[in-house]
Amino acid sequence: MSRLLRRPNAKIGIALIAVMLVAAAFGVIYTPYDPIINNLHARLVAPSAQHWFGTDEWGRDVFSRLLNGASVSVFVSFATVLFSVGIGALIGALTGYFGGWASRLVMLVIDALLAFPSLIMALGVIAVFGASSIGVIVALSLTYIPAVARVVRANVLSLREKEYVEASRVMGNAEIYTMLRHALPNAVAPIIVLATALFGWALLAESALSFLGLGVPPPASSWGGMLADSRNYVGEAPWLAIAPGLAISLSLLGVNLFGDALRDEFDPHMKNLV
Amino acid sequence: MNAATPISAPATDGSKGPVLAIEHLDIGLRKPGGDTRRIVMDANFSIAPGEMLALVGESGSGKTMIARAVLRLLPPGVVPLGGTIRYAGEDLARLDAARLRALRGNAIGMVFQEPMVSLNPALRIGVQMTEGLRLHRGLRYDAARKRCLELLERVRIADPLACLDAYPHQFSGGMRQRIMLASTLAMEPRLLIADEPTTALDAIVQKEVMDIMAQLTREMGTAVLLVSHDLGMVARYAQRVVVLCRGETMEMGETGRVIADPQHEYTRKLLASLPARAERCRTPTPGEALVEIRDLDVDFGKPSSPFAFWRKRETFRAVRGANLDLHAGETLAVVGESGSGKTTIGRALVRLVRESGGRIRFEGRDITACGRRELDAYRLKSQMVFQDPYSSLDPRMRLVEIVAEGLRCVPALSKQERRARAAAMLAEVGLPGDFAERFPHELSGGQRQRVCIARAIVAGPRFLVADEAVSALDVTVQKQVLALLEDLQRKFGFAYLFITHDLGVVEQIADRVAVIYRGRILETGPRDAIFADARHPYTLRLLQATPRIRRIEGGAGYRLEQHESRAQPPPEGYVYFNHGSLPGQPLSAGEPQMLAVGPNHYVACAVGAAQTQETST
Repeated sequence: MSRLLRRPNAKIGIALIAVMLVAAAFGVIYTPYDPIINNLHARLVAPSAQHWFGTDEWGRDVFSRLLNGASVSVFVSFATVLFSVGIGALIGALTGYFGGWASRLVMLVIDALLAFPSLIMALGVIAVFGASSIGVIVALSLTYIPAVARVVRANVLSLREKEYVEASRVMGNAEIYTMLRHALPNAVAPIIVLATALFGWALLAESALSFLGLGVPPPASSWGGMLADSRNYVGEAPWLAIAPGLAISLSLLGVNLFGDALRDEFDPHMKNLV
Repeated sequence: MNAATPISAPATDGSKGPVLAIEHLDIGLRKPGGDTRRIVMDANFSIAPGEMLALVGESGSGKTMIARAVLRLLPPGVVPLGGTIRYAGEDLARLDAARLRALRGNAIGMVFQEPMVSLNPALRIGVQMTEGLRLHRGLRYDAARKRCLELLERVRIADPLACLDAYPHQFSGGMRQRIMLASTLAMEPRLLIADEPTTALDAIVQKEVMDIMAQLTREMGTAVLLVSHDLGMVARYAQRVVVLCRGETMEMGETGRVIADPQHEYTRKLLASLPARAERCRTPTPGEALVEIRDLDVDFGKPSSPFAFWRKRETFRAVRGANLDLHAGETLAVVGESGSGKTTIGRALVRLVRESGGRIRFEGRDITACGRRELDAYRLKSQMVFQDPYSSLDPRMRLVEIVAEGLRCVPALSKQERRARAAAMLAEVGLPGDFAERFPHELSGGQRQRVCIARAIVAGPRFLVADEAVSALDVTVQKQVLALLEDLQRKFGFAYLFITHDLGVVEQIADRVAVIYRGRILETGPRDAIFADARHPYTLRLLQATPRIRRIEGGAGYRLEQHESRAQPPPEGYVYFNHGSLPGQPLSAGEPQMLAVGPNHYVACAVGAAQTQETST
């Protein structure tokens, strides 16, 4: 971690992520104004000392809605990463370690899923589950599981041939123990790198879905939804678009910078070039 | 280069003096902190036309760095600090890039260690081979092609014309190395740099490639700088040798003289580390064997398409009808080249692969058809030491945890007891005290192999499968590990199944030897019988291909020994079994029969008239 901090990109990334997390925390604990209740006396107020980022067409404080949206976005992205990495890693590790016709069948299904454009598939899943945070999480997890499973499987496939894994089998350790103790932990580095990338993708996809009106249903705030609502007022109230737009891009930038630094740190091939 | 350069006169004047002269060469490694560590100190030597000089040393001796410095191909961070490298009187350090390019691959050729990666897999052999001729000599493609055909013939490629139109993957490692050699020598370089050119090859192939290289370079008058760790090979081929240790030149001189009368302490140590025949050789106690392998077949499925669920997978038989006995307390060596199936036998024995046919009995009990509980009990009695000390230890675990894991399946042991026994075992293999809390990456290759041994024996097995357990180690370290293995055997009394390609190691530690080729065991017998009285022509070829250095009786020096035993006719009414091991002879049909030719000495034969056997050698 200390080596990671020596990379300037990593510092910027971590700082941006910290801001995002703090905003998300405030979104739950305290916001200056209620993010949901309308205040028709203060519609489309420009940014000022009272309303830092102005107010929207319903008179809601944009800053408060941003904080609230941060907690929604972070929660959805985090849950997505948790599910897709958890389930994907399990599938990848099992199929990679044990092989056989069953795992080939599973991978066939995984590959078929991989062939779907992720947003289209998410649309389909949401059509079934309905537009809600849970719907978005399930939809995005499903679309990311194949990628995780592929990466983990590839790593476990090569780790399975390592002699320390064979040594463990020769000792009489159960296969599942060997897999969990020796194979999977040594694949953790690429999994972490992938997880950070997924977090960024999920953040973006959640915004995109909300923008399309398929994400978190109104009146709850979300960055993508705010961006969508701002379209009608871009001329008269540009801050409505700029604030959530900046929030999305900066968070994404932070996560990606951090992910790149992690990858450079974990991947020995990349490390030598730096 | 312009097209007018004549083909046969590759380089400049100065043809009287040495081709390569290195004086006071220092090479340093720049560390990230800014300071520089010297990795080659004051190297001095020169090579005359037609001469082969060898740089010999263990890993980290700087031998490869010197060779690379000649071509200015040092890896990043490694820089020449001083001294001169002269090629035919020309200082290589002062050359501009254009002149250097003109020399590289033209007047100075290079053959690398890895034949599998040094040819471009995407290009036909002909295109790659003619590249240099077209670039440096300005030859047209067909003229260059003619020249290449000539060379391919001289390195004894069977069908040179077909070879030019083939791709590298169609050839074995030995063939590729010959092709590399041919394409390098097509330029008639005045200097050839060969960096461990045959290290990745099997003994018989190694001899063929080295013979060709020595002969061709002598004929062409090419000076050769050979880089090698293998003293036996160097003694056989190089006229002069430079012995390096940690960048310093220890000794230099005529190869025969250096070996017969080593002056420097390190040279003596190196020679003394070479495997030598041990005095003792146990004969197995008659009676029941500890492990009996009967008619063992092992098949491997070839990878098939993921969509072909219904199709039966094609299989490759790695071991065919193997019969072997391992007696308590003895060392049985299984010898063969890569792909012979020797490793597969070992892996079947510790249940890492399933057999497709046959039986393995341990203490009279059939372990190929036993339940989970019996298998667990068997696994405590059988253990394995792997070849690669760098991938056989889990990088995230401390040594004591690694060794303690060997006790995980021993019933009724507390965690503390396991750790205590693991620490004691680490001390036993020479890693006492605070080694227990270290991680594998803090250890050297030899130390790692000690950990592997500790892990394997901590639960008190009856036998160990050692799969090329010392092949990756330098000779001095190898000697220590072999000594450790022998000490442990004496102390704990387990049997070894020692899998190796190195006949020197076999001679040192084996009681009995089994020779295997393409899945078939061709000859088994007591060590002395195999080495003094080998019967199967393949065994004989293997013995003759392995250069061995022996201590001169009663003296301090050593000499290169030629293998002396002669071919012997097979028993009346039989021919030696041939399934590809005897090139140019008819293949034997059916199953081989193991015929006794001496006490405990068996050779694979097939029924047939023994008439033309004399031609086999």
